[in-house]
Amino acid sequence: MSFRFVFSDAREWRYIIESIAALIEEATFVVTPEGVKLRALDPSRVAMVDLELPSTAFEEYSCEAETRVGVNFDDMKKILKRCKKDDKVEYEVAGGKLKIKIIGKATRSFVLPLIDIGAETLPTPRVAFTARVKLLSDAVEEAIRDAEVIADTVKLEASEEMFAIKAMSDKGDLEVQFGRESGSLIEYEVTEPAVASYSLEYMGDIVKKSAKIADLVTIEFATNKPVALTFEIPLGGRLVYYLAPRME
Amino acid sequence: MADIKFSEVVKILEAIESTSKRTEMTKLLVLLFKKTPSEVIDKVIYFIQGQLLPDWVGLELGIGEKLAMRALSIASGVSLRTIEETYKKIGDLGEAAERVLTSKRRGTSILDFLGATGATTRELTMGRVYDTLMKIAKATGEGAQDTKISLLASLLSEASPREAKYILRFVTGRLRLGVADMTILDALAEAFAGGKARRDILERAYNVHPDLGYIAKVLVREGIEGIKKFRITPGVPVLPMLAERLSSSSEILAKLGGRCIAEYKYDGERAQIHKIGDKVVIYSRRLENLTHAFPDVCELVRKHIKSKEAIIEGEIVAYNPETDELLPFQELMHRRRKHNVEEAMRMYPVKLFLFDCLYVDGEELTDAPLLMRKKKLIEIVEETDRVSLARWRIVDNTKDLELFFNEAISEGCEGLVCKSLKGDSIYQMGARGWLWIKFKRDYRSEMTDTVDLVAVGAFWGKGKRGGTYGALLLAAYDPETDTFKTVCKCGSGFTDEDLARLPEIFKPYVIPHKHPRVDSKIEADVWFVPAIVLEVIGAEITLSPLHTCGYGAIKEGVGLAIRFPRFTGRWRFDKKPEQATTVKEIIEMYKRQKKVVREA
Repeated sequence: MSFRFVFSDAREWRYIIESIAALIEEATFVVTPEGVKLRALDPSRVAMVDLELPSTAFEEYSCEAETRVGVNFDDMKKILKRCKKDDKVEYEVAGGKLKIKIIGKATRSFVLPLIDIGAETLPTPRVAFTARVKLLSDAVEEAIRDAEVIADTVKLEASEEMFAIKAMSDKGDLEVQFGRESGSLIEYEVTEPAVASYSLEYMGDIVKKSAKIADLVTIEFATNKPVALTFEIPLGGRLVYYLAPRME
Repeated sequence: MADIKFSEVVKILEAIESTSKRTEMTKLLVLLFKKTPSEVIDKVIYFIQGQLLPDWVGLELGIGEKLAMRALSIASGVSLRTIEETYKKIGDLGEAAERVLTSKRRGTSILDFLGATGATTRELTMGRVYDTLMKIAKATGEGAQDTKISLLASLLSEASPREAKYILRFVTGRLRLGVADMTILDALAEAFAGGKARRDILERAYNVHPDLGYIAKVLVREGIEGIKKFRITPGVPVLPMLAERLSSSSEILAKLGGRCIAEYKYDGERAQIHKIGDKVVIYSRRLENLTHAFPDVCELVRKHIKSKEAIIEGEIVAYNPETDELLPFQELMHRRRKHNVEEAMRMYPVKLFLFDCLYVDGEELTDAPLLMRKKKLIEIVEETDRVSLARWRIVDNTKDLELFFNEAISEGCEGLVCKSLKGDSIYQMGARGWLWIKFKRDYRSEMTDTVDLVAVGAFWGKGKRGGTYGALLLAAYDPETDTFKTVCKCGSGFTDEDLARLPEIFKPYVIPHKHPRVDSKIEADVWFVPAIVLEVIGAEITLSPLHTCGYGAIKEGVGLAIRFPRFTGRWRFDKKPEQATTVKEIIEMYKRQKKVVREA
């Protein structure tokens, strides 16, 4: 039961971890010869995070057999805060401990205990989405921040013509439109118009952190169904969030 | 680990809520306790009490209604606004949660959409509820609020609507089941100790270690023999002894056998103080943990209590360090806060007056007579101007008792506590008995008008008032004898400017001895020719053996004094001393005073 991998951009790695830590307290990395996977629910079971990194995303990668590594994300986040630009990060499990090395001007090794997390096997998400929108993650982040000014719920709407992010409350209304011609909208497919509302608290936590990882985000949803937000990781692999809708 | 389903606990809670009979309540509790595995019996009991640990531990969840509603919103997927509206309509967050969850149960978890067959629907257990609440309480520091919300949301998302109702009531401190601690003891005796006969043993344990969860755990594991081993432990508060009350000196002396200890009953906060090496813990009369509010008292105890370990009792009283006057209880209340403790400590300094001693270095003293306990207390206390024994003396006649009583009142105390001197005068934990009798007035008067008084002397100040006067000795005019008779010492109400100017203002009038027209039993530091008049208001006019104003007019051997006097800021330079308020007027004011009957 051991493995070792090196991720060449410690800052990128830190953003991935922070992005997961925004929703998850504890989760298990499943490390196999093919790559690293993590799938976990937030404590309220409103959101699910699904991370997949193929072994090719790493600068160095060695793993003989599947190894499960339970970690506390809050602790790991604090360690990774210590990363500087141009640092590399190495993970190694041996002898029941997790060793995290930050390799830069000096090599700093943190050793963490592995925690035992009840292994709840989560099913592969399968939802029939009717709208698929690929757009600049910055633009989505701005729209979500705008919505937070107004309300605690955000509404996503996809029609033939345009994708819109809306919020409303007694404080006022907000509408951010992404037309087919707008520069932010990269790809747009609608098989059936879709409208659904989601918690802004979750949406904000997801988008604000993940926008740092990837320039583009793919949003998939359907009327009163969950939304999936997919962030492609530049070095390979992807981070997907599923968020349950709010029923108003 | 063995556990009990939370739904079973909730069932009993619902039944308890719908009964008003104590016997039925006890029966329901017995039923629940017998069903509960020993591993979680303490958790069940704490939950029923609406607390995670006994109050005296001072652990708080740190979740208000706002946060609770946010957690409910996350768990239910219902908007915060809808929840707020429902709560407003119903007025009980627990019920509101039950309603919201019942109507909006569907489609809140992401699992519902993943075609998840593996999605386990675990049933909540008491252990899981308690442990999560404990995690919520322990989350501190940066991001603690978010952690608390998400933990509570996760708990609520696993709870049935009925369970959520009780969880939210617990969290917001509104469980209100009306189950008294004594009822829980009854039920424990019934369930595990063979009934009422053993109830006394349990109650004794509760007196020395008021923690029902702990008592239950020991009882279930070790039986009644384990309970018998309970001893006073420094750090764990004991239930305080309480006093009966009478309002006549003759009745009190008769009750106590003609001779007793009379002790000032200060107008402060009764404190049970535990010293364990360098650690000091302070409990209120109701056993709340007050340690955080009184770091200065902790320091005084560390420095001036000479034993290694001790449990002592005393009264914390606010005072004015510049004049040395004791201040009323309301001033001390500024110290009961969580934030800006340092600032409150500076603005409202306190003194500590000790009156009892229950434990010293391994020796339990509760069964020792009072004089022995006092002797022990005297041995371990190093008296200073801020830590001392509560003023006390032994009296054996009503005249002395009343004089001492009036002295206490005029010095800002509430009255006296008269205590038995006999051999059986033990410390009765948790009991109100006739060994201690409060001597308080039945009424409190109110002084509604200001008076104009003549300054006849002054006392040097301390601290910030060093180099100037800390307080003035004030007198009323008696035209019949053409003398000025003292009525109070006043150091409050002066602005910093006034204070700085005091010696200058009085300089022309300073004389090396008491003026022949001044009648005073108090020795001032500086004496004045009666000349300057000030406007003063006080809380009330009381009898006092220390002052000469109206001496003998109301009662033989006592005069009148103004309690808690305060300069209004008006110098009456326009008035001659002979135009000051007269002694006769003060006597009239005393007689006319509005008497507010005190609650018993």
